[in-house]
Amino acid sequence: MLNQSVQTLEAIEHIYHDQWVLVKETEWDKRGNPIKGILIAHGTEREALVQPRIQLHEHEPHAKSFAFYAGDIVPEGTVVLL
Amino acid sequence: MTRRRADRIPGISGYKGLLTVRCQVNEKYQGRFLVDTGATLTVISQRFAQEMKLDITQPIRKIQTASAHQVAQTPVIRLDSLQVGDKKVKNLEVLIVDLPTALRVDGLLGVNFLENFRVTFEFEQATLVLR
Repeated sequence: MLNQSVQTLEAIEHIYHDQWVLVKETEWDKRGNPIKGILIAHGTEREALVQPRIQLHEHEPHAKSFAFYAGDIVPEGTVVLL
Repeated sequence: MTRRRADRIPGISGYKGLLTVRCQVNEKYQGRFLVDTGATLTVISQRFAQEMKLDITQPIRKIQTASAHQVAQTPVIRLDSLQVGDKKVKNLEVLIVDLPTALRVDGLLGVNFLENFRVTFEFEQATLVLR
């Protein structure tokens, strides 16, 4: 694990801008949305989160985790055709 | 007539109006999904499925999927639950797809989830409303 300190999701998004991040959730708002967590992994490729997430849930089966990209969902100038 | 309570789900507005929302799968795995009214079934990425140790070698079935650029046989599995805001659908069938890397989400929230609710898009506020 990279950093055991609890941070706000806002701070994590700011620090790891334009990267994929994996967070173990530690605090939620009254609607259940995660607002704080511990950074477990980060990287420019989604692949960087796969093994850390598997390990997290093996060691802590009841943990809740949130993986997301801290930046634009698609690069500017890219049109999505699904 | 019974009025169902609206759940306003704040999302993130992407380039050219794409809307993504946070989804919780099987109670403990969260990711961001693109809301896609053009997807018949909800989709999750292969990596996300791998992280949850979902067995895609024994799918419920394989179905032929047609996108703008290819036709393929794609495994369908069943999730215990998928939750968006406080709206949860249990036993939801999903397709497992290798999503393009340029699309930085872990899934597509498709019609088989959305059809359980009255759905409104508020694009200016990047909000999905489910009733």
